[in-house]
Amino acid sequence: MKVETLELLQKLQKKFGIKGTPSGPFGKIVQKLLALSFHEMGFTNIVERGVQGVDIDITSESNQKFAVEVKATEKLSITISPENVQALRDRTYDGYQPVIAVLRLVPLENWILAKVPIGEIPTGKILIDSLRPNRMKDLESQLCPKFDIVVRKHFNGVLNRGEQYLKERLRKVGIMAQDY
Amino acid sequence: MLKIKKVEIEGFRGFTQKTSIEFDNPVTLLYGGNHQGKSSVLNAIEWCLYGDECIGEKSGIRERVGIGEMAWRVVNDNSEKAQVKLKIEGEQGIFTITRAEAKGKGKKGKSIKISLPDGTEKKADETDQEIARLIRVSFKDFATTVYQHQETIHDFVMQKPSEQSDVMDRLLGLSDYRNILDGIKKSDVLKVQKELTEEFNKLQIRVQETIYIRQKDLDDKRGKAKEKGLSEEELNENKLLELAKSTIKDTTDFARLLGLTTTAISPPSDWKNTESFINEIKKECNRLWAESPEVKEQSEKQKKRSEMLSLKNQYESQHKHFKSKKKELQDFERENGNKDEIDNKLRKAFEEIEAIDEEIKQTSPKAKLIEEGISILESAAPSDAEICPLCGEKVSNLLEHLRKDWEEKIKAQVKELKKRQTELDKKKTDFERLKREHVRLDEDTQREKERLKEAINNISEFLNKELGVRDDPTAILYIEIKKIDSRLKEIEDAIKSKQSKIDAILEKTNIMNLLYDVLLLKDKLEKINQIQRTDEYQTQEKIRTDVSNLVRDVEELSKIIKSCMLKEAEEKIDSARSAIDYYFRRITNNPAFQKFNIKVEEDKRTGVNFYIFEDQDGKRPVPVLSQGDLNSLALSIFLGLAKTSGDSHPLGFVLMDDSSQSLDSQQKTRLVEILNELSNIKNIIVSTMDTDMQQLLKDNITKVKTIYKLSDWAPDSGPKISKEI
Repeated sequence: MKVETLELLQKLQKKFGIKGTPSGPFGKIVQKLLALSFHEMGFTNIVERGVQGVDIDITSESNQKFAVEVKATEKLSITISPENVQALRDRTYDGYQPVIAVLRLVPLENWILAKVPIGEIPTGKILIDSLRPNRMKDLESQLCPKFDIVVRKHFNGVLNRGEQYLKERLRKVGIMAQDY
Repeated sequence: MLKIKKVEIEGFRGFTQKTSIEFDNPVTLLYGGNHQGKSSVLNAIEWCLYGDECIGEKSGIRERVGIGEMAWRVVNDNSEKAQVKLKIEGEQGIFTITRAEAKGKGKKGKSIKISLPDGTEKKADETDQEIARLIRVSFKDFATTVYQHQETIHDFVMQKPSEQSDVMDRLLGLSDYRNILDGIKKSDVLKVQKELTEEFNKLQIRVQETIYIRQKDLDDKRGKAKEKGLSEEELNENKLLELAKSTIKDTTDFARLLGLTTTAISPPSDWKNTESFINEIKKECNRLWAESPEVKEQSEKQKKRSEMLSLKNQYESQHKHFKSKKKELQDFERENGNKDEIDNKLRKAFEEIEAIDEEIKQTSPKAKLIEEGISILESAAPSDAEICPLCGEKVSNLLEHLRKDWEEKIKAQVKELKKRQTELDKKKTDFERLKREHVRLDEDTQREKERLKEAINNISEFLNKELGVRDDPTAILYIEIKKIDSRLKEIEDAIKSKQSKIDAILEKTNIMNLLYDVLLLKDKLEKINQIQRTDEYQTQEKIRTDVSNLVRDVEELSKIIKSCMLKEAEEKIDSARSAIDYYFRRITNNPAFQKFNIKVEEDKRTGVNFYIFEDQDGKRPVPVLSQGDLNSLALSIFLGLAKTSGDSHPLGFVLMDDSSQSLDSQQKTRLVEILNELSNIKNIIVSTMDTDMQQLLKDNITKVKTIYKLSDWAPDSGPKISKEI
């Protein structure tokens, strides 16, 4: 992630985040920006869920289906709840492979996309580095530049209008955004 | 089946002298008190078969773990070499294994050989292979199914229930798994991973601080650039280079306007060179400005004006001083008279004083003399107080006499004259003071006058003009300054338009400076992006991934080890379950136990084996088991494993070391009965210090037996051994 991208995200976090917690609209904003980035990468059948279930569903050109749990944090670890795992498990019944997407909001970090077998996803607090063995590096290297572009492109819109702006953008590009 | 026939021990642990012990009969009993060498005999058999495998951490036997003084020493402290020769009888005949170790020689001091029944002898590596082929049992299995160590019983009895699973693992020969798991736990790879991540995070925090500072500077510069009329889109290199080119043109035009020529300045090739370019432009502008005729004249005129003002101030100040002093003198003379008048007054006072003196003389010729005599004697030393100042003769009470004379005869006659004389003395003193004051005032006035003349001369020299006493230097200088001011006004008007040109150029350089700063800060921030493309960053990424892989692999390995440990425990218990149940109920003879079962499962918290002992109702009896019961349980597990392992290896003997530690007499009796049964299929070598047990074995073992008594152990000679048949 470029320094500029980090700076823009930190400005959004300052406005929409709740300091010290992953909650608040900021987390959903990052999730929607990620969904737009997946769209830019050529993924199809993208479903972005604002409330219940797995955060994002995507399907690759080669018809690989991924269910993505999104985490954005400044810390060294993330918390995966049993509900998160259950939501990912539910998607596996429809042929989706579980992916945990983590972005640390600090310099010199990029998105980590970790494809972890559903039976091996731990719950509770886990060190982000422990996801490294499961990284999808090819996908990450495609995602990061796209994410930089998406953040830069939509920064002003989000800053002025918040999550609503991104909901409209998602709908405009054909991403299904579920808020229920 | 292999049976031990004989062991020869020399210099091994408790033994110094060469000692032979034969095991010809189905049962051999070694008995004696503590520290008499009984265990050393069993240890010698084990060491001869397994060498270093049975020493240290890897042995799984706690008393053999330790280094230095605490080490389990093979060679006797009073011997230089330990040697054990073991004769084993198999179907093919006698095998003789000889193992030796010299003290302090390390690996070189160790040797092993085996003589086969056909007389061939094998040494070194071949020997180990030959022994392995012969006995076909690993050290771990030997320690759980052949050799019942004191420690396994003792630990089982003494450990807390929560730690009995550890002892059970050792009883089942699973300590290797435990050791590996302990090693994994101690290595704490997860901690290493956390430390590594935290270390990198510290760097990230520092980078974040740097970014914050630079970002703030950038925002500040951006704001200033916008105030100068640049839009966000113009904050780029092209705009900077464009400004640079136009500045060169502006400078050339400016030089032309001044009638001067410019030094050639090249535009910067890229934004990074603009800083030096800006300095060159500024330098050139300053040069052009300084060399323009109007500015030169302006500078000269300003200098001259400044000097004139200084001379004018100097003159006016000096003039003021002179006037002040002159007035002071005039005021003094007006009040006290001039120099001559004061001199006259002083002279007159002198004359009047002399006249009074004369009058006093005439009135009383002695008066002066007596007055002076009193004055001399009053100030004289006590010894001279009676010496006449005139004749030098001693006159008694001279001072008193003179005073009396003065008071009685002279004082009344000269009283008025003396009074007048005193008044005149005072007047004279006043006149003298006035005279001195006049001299001082006159000198001060003259000095100020000289200084004023000097100030006038300076003006005269500066203006190159003679100034007479009738000239007013202030007015002359004032007129000259006015002339300069008038010229300066003309020059100022003339350069005003040119000044605006140079100001415009300098303002442009300010904008360029701002733009340069913006680009520099952007570049510095961009450099942080480039960190991720450096080899160092890639290396740390690789290290972090490698460590994460290692953590995952170690976790996986740990899971596999735990799973293997569980499986092996289950298999061993399954195979020996009925034997253990039989032996346990037989030794304890407790009617509460109709069935005794051992189950093993994974400890949910630690993942290692957790053993559960159950009775026929599935209840857990461990909390109510006595030490004797626990001892019986440990023995039952060993005997169960020893019995059921019979098919898996050819060793036809068991070694039992102090097996009756906490058993009561009934339990001991039943144990001996079991050993008697076991002696049908295996030779039994029992070591005990328990006299009851010794007697029970003597009386109740129905097989032929050899009994050795070990006693009187001494450091230099070892134990005395007597044989009973």
